[in-house]
Amino acid sequence: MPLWEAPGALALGLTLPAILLLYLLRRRRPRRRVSSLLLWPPAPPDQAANAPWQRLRPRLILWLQLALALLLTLAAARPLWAGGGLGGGLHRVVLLDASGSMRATDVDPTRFAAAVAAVREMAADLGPRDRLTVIRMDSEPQVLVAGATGTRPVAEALAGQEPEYGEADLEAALAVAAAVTGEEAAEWVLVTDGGLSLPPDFAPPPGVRLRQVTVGSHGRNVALTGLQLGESDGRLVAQVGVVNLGDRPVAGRVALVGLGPGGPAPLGSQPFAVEPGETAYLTWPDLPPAEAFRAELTGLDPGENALAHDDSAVAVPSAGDRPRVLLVAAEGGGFLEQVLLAHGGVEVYRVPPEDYAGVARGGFDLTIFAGWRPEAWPAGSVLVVGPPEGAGSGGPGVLPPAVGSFLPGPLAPVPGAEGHPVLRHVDWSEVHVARAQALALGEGWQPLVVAPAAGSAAPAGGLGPGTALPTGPSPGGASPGGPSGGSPAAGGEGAAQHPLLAVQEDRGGRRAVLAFALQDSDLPLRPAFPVLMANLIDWLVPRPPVLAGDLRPGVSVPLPPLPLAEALYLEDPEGRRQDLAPPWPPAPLTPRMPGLHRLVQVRAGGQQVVSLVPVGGYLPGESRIAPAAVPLPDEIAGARPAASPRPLWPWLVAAALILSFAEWWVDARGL
Amino acid sequence: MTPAPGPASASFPGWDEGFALALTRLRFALRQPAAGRWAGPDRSRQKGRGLEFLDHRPYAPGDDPRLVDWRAYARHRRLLTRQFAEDREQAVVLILDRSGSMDLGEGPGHKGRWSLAVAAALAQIGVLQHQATAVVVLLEPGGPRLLPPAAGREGLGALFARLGAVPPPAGEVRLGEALARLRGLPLPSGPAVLLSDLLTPDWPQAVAALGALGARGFDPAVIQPLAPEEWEPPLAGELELEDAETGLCREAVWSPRGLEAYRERLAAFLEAVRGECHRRGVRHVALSTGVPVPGAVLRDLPRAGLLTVHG
Repeated sequence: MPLWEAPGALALGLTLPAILLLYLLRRRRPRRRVSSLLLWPPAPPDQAANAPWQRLRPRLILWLQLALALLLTLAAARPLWAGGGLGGGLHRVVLLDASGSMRATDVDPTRFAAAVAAVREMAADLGPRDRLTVIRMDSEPQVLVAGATGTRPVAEALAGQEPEYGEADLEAALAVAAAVTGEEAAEWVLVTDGGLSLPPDFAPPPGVRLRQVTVGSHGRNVALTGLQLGESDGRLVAQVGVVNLGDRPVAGRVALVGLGPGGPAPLGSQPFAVEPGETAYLTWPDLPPAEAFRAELTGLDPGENALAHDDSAVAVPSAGDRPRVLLVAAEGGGFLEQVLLAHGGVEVYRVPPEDYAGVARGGFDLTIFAGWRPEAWPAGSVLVVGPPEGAGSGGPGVLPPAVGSFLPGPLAPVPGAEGHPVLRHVDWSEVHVARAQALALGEGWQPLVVAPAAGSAAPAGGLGPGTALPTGPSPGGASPGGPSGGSPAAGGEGAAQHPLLAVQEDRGGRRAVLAFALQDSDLPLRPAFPVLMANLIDWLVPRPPVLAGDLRPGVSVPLPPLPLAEALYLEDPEGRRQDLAPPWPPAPLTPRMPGLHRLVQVRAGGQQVVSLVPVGGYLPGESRIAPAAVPLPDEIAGARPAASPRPLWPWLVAAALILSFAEWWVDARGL
Repeated sequence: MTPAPGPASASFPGWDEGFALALTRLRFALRQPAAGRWAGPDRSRQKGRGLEFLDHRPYAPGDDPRLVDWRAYARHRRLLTRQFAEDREQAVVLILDRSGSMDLGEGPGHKGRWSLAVAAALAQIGVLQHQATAVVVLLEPGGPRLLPPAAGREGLGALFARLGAVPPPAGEVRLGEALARLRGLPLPSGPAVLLSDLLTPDWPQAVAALGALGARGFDPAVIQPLAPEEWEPPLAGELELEDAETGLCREAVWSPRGLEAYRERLAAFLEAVRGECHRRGVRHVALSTGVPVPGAVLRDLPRAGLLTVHG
């Protein structure tokens, strides 16, 4: 059916009856005087009559003029031919779902293979002017083939494609499709098994119709939601969750295996029976030590469990290489030592300042200086508590110099920094400080807690209300600390704010400074003290979060600075290596498959520190494999024809031009 | 002898001194003897006193003794009277059609003006040959109007003046009826030349009336001038044609095919006129007014046999 870009121009069709009227009306012809009518043939009777009307004579020129007017009218309305389907030069953009659920085997051999076959059929249906673009839709959508006009490039692009284990980013895939489509009319075909939803404000580009092809037959699947390890009465305990995502009761067993240098060691299996939609939990008490544990589903009817990669779960015990912390305290370090020992997650070593030189190169993950400053800063993370006055010799840009002491007023977190991990759950309202050092924060330092200088006890440095501390250069305001980075006066109301707690993070590691000695405050007596120290240790010596066991395929996790590492890479369960650093900072850790990964830090001298990274295969959205159509709003699905409309007016104008020449020829010859 | 053209001759197109001189060598070609009443330069059928001996007849009392052939009496003893061919004067009658159809053409090719110029030339030829020249103007209304004839050179100027004062062509003239009314006019016999396009439905009657003049001692002829646009109409498209005489209009679609039909109708018309003139003993020549008057008079009319060149 033709569409009209300017349907109002069809009103020009009134020229057709107007032309007929001109032929019906007797034309007033120019009068010529001749000597006599004797030699002139008599006029036809209808011409000789005096009536204003004349009989319409079917002259060739009349039909030519009518056809000419009709063609020009149609051309002015700018018709578009949208018919013809695939024969009309259609650009079809296929969004091929490559998420983990497409690995389901309810369709032989897999849903993904069925989807690929459907795409190949679309390629086989291509017309001479049709084009096909295939976008692989996973966590990072990519264009497999763009604008293919035949089956061969499509087949080559689809060869060897396998689905991921994670989720598909439909929104990103739609953005890619929009970029590929441009402003032309197209048809987007979503080949998926469901489990996706359009962005709430999604609107396809003009001229684009969205439809979908659903693959999959049933949604029966059983998955392990995870393997959790814990301690109970000093014994290692494991718990496994089993969920039945199908529509029928299932029963089977879960086997637990201990992983270690000697290979897998079976630790027994337990039966389970789960109703549809229910979850069962199985527990293994008193497990023997192992590097890791793996739970696997066994004894299930394959017809009840169509997805395989969520049938196992791995976990790594938290025991093992604890960070080594060196406490260098001149005096009053008892509070610090006690709280470090109470932390339990670190190995604490304490030396007096005079013995520090002997252990400075001990490769400690964290060094805490209390009331003392070394000549040279160590590698790794540093915490300074109660820095002595002066710049020290640590070198510029390492720790801020203390330029004087003052009596702080009420302590308060810097606005905007309340969510920093160091301040999490720390209540500063009951903390009072009698004396603190005024710090001149340099570039990259972020104040977290500030306090105004109280007027009655001005420090020796002469600081008083309204006097801002030197903050050091902050070129371009490029501070990683946030919007108030490098500006300790932020948040003050008429009085200068001085930092009492500041942090810094760069390639060399993380550093923190507490501007007052513990004995000059009541902080050790407050509940905030152990919380603050735990936060500081966790932030200064971060354990790779992958050890938490929450990683899922396709989910990116940023890695913290690992100051002692010179290289960093990840090995997946199949031994494939993924380099993360250098360059620094390291690339986000994005596992591609479930299973036990190895995060390897290469330190100086080639020393390798290996962290086991368990990646779970269970994703609720992907394990629920029941085929479902993506809900499409009515105005999107089929509201507009997807065939690429072709303008017809050039052909009409060309025909009108030919007719005009014919009309001139006929008129010149009086036909 | 160089004529002395009157002042009116200058108003006719194509006149100049050379043309006037050339006219002195032309005369009307006569197909029959002069039938004038008075003695003149042209040979007539009358026997009487003349220079060319024709015959003898027996003497009758009363004959002029100078006509008695005394030599024959000496030989035959019989009185015989000599008879001579008598030369009589002969007139020229120019008949001008001033109907509306003659009002066509541009400049010198205008049929009315072209006809006047030719008539003036013919009048001068007649006068120079001592022929009384009469001009009859066919007007409507009023019927034929006879202009005072010019019998000698001294009257030529006046004749030219009267020709110049002839009203322009206008109106419808029933040509056959007008020519029939010439019987009532005191016209001297001699060549009677009609200048008319004959574009009137009663042209056959006109030719018949002209032929009837032959029985009265006239030598009738028709000069049929047609304008160039009548020979080859420059018309195109759809037109409304107006008859110059009747004022009737007729719509016509003028196309190449219509032009071809016109040509065929014109050729048939001229052929019909030519045949009718031949049948009636009327000499006929059709000329284009696109041809200048000197060329028509000095070349075309002698070629058509209406004029001869002497001396």
